[in-house]
Amino acid sequence: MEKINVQICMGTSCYLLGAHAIIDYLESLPAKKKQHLEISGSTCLKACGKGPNVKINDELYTSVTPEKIKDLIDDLIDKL
Amino acid sequence: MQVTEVTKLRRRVLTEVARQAFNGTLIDEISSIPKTVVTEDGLRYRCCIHKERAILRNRVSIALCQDVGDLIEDAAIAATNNEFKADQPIISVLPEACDGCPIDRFVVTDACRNCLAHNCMLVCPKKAITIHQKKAYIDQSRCVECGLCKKSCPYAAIIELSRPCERVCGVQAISADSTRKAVIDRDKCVECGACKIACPFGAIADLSFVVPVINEINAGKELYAMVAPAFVGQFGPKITPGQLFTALKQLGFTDVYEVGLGADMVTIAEAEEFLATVPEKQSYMTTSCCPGFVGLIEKHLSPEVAEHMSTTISPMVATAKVVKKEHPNSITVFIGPCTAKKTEAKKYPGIVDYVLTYEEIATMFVGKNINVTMIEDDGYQMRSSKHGAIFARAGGVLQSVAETIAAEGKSDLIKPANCDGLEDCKTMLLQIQKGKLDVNMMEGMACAGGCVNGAGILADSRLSSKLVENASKTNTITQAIDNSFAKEQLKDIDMHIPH
Repeated sequence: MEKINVQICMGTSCYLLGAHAIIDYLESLPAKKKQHLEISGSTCLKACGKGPNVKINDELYTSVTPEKIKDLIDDLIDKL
Repeated sequence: MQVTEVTKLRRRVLTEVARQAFNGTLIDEISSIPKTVVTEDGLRYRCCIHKERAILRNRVSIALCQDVGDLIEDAAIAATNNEFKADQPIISVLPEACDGCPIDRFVVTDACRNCLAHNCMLVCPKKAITIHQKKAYIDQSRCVECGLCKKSCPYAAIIELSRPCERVCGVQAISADSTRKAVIDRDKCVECGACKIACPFGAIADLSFVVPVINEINAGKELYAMVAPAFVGQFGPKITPGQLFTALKQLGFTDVYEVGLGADMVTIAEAEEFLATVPEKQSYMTTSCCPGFVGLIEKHLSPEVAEHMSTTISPMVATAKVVKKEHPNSITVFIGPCTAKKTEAKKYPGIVDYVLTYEEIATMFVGKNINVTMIEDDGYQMRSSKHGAIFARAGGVLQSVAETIAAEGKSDLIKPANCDGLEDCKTMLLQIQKGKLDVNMMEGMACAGGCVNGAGILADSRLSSKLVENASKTNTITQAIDNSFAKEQLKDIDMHIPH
């Protein structure tokens, strides 16, 4: 099964701007959605100061919020 | 922990100020902060971009340790010249940011049934309630906020609203002035910072010593970081003590001391003090390590209650005394979860030089491009005991003191109780003083949950409280009395609060 690769920056800059809320959100997803995701952490995605930063299938997104990542992931799951 | 837009703004400002201070470019670049943090195409929370930038200027001044109303360009020059306004109150209201919440205290909701009895109208002493369009209506110009209508409604259709800052303040120190802006009563405020966290407009700030500390670092001084035990989990759930302490050295600190060592010393000293004074000289004793709790006793309770407070210094002060003894010409910087510690430090000039919160030190890391997650763990093993470590959570001080007394086989002498939250602490103190509670040793913490829930934290206290507990079990020394370093220090460090 093709998976969506989600890489969350855990670096200090992103952490200060709320990266943990993104992780909490992804962890709380129902198994039905989670099974499509390959979630991993990163120490830096090289966009410090614009965080929280997330890379989805090699595309970088900045200032991510739980609401924003929900929309991004839902779109990609629909396309699978 | 959800990081709100208000929190992000505060952290962005501090990070940018720290970056410029490290680079020595405050004077040239300070004016750019309002423009880079609030951009033309960014989100709008206020009426206009000008208002947002005006508020941001307030934030920048406080971040530079200057008066809130100072022009940021002047503030940057003063800060660069090492001229700070450190004597002002730690917690202050940003006048531009306070929205003057136009809250009517009692409001009739749609749950009103327009019943026949209309108790609300009958009980209102000011005849402020009438029926309009089949619903009770409160004439706010007549209402004296007595609350009788709310109590009398059988449908609970009348609700009571309050300002977030007023609601969380455990000592009724913040209220609205005639223009509805928040003002803080200095005679009552204990600087716990609860209002700062509660205000959804981010209108309350704590004075920051980020720039004074960076100036000392840039001047090549010998600085020691004293890290409070609540650090566990603050910089990310997987960050180890070794990573954090290495990061602090990269920032410019010569070395790092665990405040847990001071907490071990306090544990031993307070247990001794208890055994020496209770019950012969006094009927009960309270802890003295939480500056918010100390403030509550000093400002809100009678001198008779104050007499029962432990005369032992706090772990912060004990640790600072150790540092100053071992390194006489050094500068001590306490790093913790607490805004009230900034006030406590003022009582110990020459001992505790600066206080920073975890939030502030994290912005300094980012300002100096230090990413704690990328630092290799050097395997640092904590030197403080489990007792020193659990000071960070509610009940920890009491548990440490009680276990120390029990280790001497005297556990039957202590009747302990702990309390967190200012209002509850006040109630418990009054009950003990009146003899209504059979307690002879009380721990008091201003913040609900203890230090892990202070106003300068980075992690949700429900998580960090557990992480503190788990980490405390990995400390090689279990009991404070088995910590030979702490015991050695007690031989020549004066542990008594000066009068």
